[in-house]
Amino acid sequence: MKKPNQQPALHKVIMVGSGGVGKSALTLQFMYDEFVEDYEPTKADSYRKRVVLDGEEVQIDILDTAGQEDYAAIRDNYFRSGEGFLCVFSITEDDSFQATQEFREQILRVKNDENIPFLLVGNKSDLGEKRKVPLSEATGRATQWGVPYVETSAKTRANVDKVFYDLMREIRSRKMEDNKPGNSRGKDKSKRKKLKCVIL
Amino acid sequence: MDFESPDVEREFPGLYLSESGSGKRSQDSDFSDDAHERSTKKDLLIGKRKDKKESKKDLGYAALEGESSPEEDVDVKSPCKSKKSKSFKFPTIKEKREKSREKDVKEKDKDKEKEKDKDVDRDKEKKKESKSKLKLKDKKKLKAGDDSTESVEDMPVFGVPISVATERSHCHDGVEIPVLVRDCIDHVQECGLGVDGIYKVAGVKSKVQNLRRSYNKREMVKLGDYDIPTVTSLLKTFLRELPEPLLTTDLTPRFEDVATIKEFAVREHELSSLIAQLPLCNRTCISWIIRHLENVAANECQNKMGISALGTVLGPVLQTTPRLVSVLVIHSSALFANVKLVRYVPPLSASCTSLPSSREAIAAELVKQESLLNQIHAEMNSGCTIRSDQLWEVQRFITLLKRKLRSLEKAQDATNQAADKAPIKSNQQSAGPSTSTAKAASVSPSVDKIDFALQVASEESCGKSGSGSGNGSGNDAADVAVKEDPTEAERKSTPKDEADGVISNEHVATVTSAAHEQPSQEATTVLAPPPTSEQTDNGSSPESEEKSTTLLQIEHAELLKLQNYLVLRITQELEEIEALQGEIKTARIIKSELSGSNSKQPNSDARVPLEVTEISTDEANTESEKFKKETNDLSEQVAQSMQDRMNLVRQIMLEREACIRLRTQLRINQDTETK
Ligand SMILES: Nc1nc2c(ncn2[C@@H]2O[C@H](COP(=O)(O)OP(=O)(O)OP(=O)(O)O)[C@@H](O)[C@H]2O)c(=O)[nH]1
Ligand SMILES: [Mg+2]
Repeated sequence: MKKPNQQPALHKVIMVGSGGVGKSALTLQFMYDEFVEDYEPTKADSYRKRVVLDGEEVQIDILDTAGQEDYAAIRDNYFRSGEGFLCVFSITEDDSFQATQEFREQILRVKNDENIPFLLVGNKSDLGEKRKVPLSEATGRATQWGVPYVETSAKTRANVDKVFYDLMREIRSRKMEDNKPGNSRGKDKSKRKKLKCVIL
Repeated sequence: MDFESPDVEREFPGLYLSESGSGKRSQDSDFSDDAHERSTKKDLLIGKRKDKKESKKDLGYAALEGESSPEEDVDVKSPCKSKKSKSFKFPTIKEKREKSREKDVKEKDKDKEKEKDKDVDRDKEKKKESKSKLKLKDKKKLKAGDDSTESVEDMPVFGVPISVATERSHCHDGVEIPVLVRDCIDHVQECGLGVDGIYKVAGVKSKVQNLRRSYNKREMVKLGDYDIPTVTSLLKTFLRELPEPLLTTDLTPRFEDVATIKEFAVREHELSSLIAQLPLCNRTCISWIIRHLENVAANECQNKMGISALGTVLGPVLQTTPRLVSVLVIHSSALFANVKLVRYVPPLSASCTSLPSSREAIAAELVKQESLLNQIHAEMNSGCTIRSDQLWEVQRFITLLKRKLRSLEKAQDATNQAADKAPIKSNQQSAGPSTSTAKAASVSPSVDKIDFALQVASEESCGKSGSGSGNGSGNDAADVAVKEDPTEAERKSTPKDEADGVISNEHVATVTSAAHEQPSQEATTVLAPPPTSEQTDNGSSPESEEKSTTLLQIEHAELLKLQNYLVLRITQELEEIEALQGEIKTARIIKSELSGSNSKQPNSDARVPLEVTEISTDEANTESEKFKKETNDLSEQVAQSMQDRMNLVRQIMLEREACIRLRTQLRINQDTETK
């Protein structure tokens, strides 16, 4: 903070989506190039990585949240501080796709910002034969929201880097917008609004 | 005179480390006559008090956490319980969130109210709070002071009830007192006990104010950099600003009454029962402070602050008479016998790159970090948004610790280190060379794993150093310093561990005996994992995968056999113990019979000449002496056999393991040959 020019930019990404869709798998594949077959529900995990984004060295903070509702209570605190969201579902599970609607709403409510950097991610693309969510339905929803849709496989690493880098680009351009003089929307504003609500 | 000092020293290891000797005796000077009486009374009291405390403690925790715990709202916030259920039903959630927000507001109001109104009854207050929103007015009035600063300022640690202060900044090692109180006590205990006029000499006001602000903002504070008068002034400021006396408005008058009781034992008893009535956080806090003052007074020779001087200085601070403070200090070791002043080792800073290295240390650190995380969540839930950077940071650190713990566990399981550690030397002597070669073979792959784990960690730290975006560049210097000294964390923890060891001898004893009692569990848990390692090691090619499956099967069968055998052995050993205990019992019975007949003899044989009676008593005495000795011998034997049993089990385990390895190897070889 004191020396912003010497610190690489930091982008805060949050993984959301139902339990078992592969949020952790995507994160671990991106972070450490590893894929774990066993499913171990996450409560919350956070990672940081240095990457080169379009020739610029940046840092990405990834917060891997819980899909399981048991841990849903602490989600809001994380959502509030996220700068971009990867909303993940599994193409093999329709429920998880339906749930993205709720996650989207929750994020919009917490962030109070329609244009928050956001990607809809259909994971487990390697399991094409078990597909339950038609591509058209997914792209339809993404268009409706005005967000990109990408299909990934945490297992084969297909599009894994892409979703993280694409989101970082969105966050970066969003920040540049915000830094323009006279523009004070986003985080602060939404917070202030909330605070007022609390007082009243 | 000397009567008490060993006692005190036992409970305060290291208390006299810096200023040993000189101050030791002075504390007894005032009331030495009572010392004997006191200690016996104390023994009686401790048991009682412990029970009471335990039960109250539970309640206290429940109440405390209920208010802030993020988990509490699970039902409220989670839209649907199961993964399958479809609709989130946002309207209801919104409503509920609204409600919980209101709750937060009320919470805040509660604090403000307490700040303002010094004599509010706690319970009444809570009822009020749940009923009405009237206090919003109060809030606005109070708000006027500082709107500029964000919400942490709205949640200060100073000037709020002790329960609130404790909740807002408690220690993460389970001691429920405000961190600042703990820090002050630690610092003075460490390097201030000998300072002349301690607690009387005031510190620099501006420094105290800065510290006060830092603690209110939950900034990292290094009290070690400050002089003792400043630190003691800070603690005094905190206590003085408490809206309610630490001994509570209700109980203070009763404490005062009791303090005037002349009779030492009665006074102590009454004090102890009053203390038991204090709310948990008050009790914990006062116990630490008084225990600490006891140490200060013990160093009167150097610091010139005896019990009565301390009373004079701290009476007004604690909002009591000087006399009451003195009396509490006098009775301190009896009243707060189970309070040990253990130095606080805070959760590691998230920017710290040298993680603890042992599994135990990591697990302990995880507990602290989770506690810290919960506190951050609680603060954020009540409207404090500033902490979000820290939230990510702590979360990241927890993830890192978990990952390291996991990889360590894997590595450790693979080598069976836990099982080998202790008997490794005896193994080299007793077992043949074949065992050690087998072991060496099994060690090598997991060493790689450890390296890998470290690599992951250091990779992570690379990412972190020079980053710390939220913390500015200051952290980087700290990072480097920490990196240069990777053992720092261990060194930090060891003195504490040592201290713990000294403090609770009994505790250690129970732990070891527990370990003795569960060799079977240990054996199975430790032995079970190695197959997994083999699997991952060989899992690369398909044929080796097949090989590893058969290997696993064979090993599994062998391990099951081993388990059965061990269970058998254990039952055998248990039987032997029982038999030995039976022997002790019979020996006791004989002894008691003997002494019984001994007392009878002179009565029934009244006519027997005196001389004879004397002789028979003598005989009985020697006899009973003999039996006493025998009993001792037998119990020693039992202990010995317990020890033997452990060693046996260990050795058997080792050899079995080696056998299993050799046998599986043999089978594999045979298989490949036949193919
Ligand atoms: N075939 C296939 N399996 C996947 C993929 N991603 C995840 N999985 C598997 O799906 C299961 C769940 O993955 P996780 O990453 O733990 O799921 P999650 O979204 O983090 O779940 P929560 O932590 O409970 O929210 C695991 O068994 C993974 O191995 C994928 O792209 N392809
Ligand atoms: Mg997960």
